[in-house]
Amino acid sequence: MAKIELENVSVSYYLRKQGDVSKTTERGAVGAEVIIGRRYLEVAALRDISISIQDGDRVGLVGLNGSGKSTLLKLCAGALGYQSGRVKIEGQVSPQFALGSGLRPRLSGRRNTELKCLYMGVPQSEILRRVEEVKELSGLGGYFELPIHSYSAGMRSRLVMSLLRLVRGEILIMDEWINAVDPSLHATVGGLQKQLIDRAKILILASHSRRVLEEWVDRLVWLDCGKIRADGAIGEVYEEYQRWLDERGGKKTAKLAP
Amino acid sequence: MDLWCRIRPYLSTTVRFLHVSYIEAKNEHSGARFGLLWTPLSALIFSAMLALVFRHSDAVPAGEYFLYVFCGYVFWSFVSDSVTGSTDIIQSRLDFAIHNNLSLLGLFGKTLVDRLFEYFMNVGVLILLIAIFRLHDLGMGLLLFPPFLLLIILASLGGSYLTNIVTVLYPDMKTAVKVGARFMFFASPVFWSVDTSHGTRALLAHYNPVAYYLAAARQVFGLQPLEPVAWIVTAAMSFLVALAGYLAYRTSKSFVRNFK
Repeated sequence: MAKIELENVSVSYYLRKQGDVSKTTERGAVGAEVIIGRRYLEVAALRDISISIQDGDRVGLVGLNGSGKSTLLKLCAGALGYQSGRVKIEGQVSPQFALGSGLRPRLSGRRNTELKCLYMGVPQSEILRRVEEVKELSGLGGYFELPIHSYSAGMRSRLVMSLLRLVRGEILIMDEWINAVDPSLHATVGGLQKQLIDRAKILILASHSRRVLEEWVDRLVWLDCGKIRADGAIGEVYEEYQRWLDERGGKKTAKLAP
Repeated sequence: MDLWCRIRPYLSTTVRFLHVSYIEAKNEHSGARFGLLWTPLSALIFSAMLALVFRHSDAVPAGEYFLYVFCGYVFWSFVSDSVTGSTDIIQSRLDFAIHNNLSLLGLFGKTLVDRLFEYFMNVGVLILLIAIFRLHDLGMGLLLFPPFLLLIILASLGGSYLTNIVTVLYPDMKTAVKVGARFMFFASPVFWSVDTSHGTRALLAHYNPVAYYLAAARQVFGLQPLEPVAWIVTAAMSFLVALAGYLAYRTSKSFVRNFK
């Protein structure tokens, strides 16, 4: 049983004040509100968020840059603290914020896999078998024995997907990196990704791509300026989001017109 | 049995982390002919140089003085790593840790095991040298090694978190900590001994807490006579630092990860 429950959660980032900070409160087209504190600048990345994600949910996150998607993912992964509210997370979380995060670039695929097994608590007696399993799954062949900084993006994707499948996290958290992979490679890693997502009890995926979201999620959460603007079936929420984007784009064009 | 069941997961995690430290340390020396052996070798070479240059009394045989310095230097390296190696743990390693199923506390536990791995390698060489040259010194003192280890683990863990939180809040402290550690190296009886009851050295040895840790470390390996005061001060300091670290963690855990 895996679940994520957030109740009225607020998350802020803190930055040290440097020089004249009076202009930092100016609101732009993107990003959360910046508050000038006594010693620090506070970026109110998430404000009063409440969301419940249960077993079997496949949730996508959309929103403009700085809307709070990555912050919400990091909060669920335990990479960020929260300043108010209540957070309850049950189940092993397996985050992947960027392609290759959590790996040592100077180590080979084999060594990285051994390390991953050790970190994830795989019994010592099973490590060798699991390493071979990842090697086979990734299809990297001899490259598995080379440092991963020598891999192409596609090779790294293969290794990461295979490792993620190995660790079998109940809650799978993925940021937009999967879209960044060359579309021609998407087909090759797609099979691995499907297996990975099928095994996860919960998927949370942030993306700007409708294609990617429609492929992997059925529920969509639209974030705007650190708040949830809409939460529901992907078709409805994405339509609403798209309309809002179009209107926003129209207003901007009108403003820019001579 | 109940106690064993309780401590077993922690022991298992420690062994696992030691294995990780081994792989990572091996990688750091990959391509080098001596590989991992460079860790004790560099400590040996540096200690030999210190002993050669700073032996201030012909009354103490050179070999004996070398062991005195080596034991001090091995422990000093652990102290120094605990402090200078902890200035940016959260800032630079939390992301890696989160991707590997480690919490904030787990990350500090992992870095502690990294330091212990290096310390154990050096201590292994130290014990070997004492066994070869001064076997009679190795005795009941070794029984004090587990409590000594517990005390330095507490101090290292607490000190490490305190150092990191201070540098997160006050970035200038990063440089100050490094300069301070260099100063403390000279202000602690690592390569000099307290052979008088007055003067600067006696003053430093009296008011510098590291001096008591160094004395306790040497007493474990029979390189100094047993002094209960050293152990009392070491224990008191360790519990104090661990408590301060714990309180700092309790009050900062909700925001420390959110500093950019």
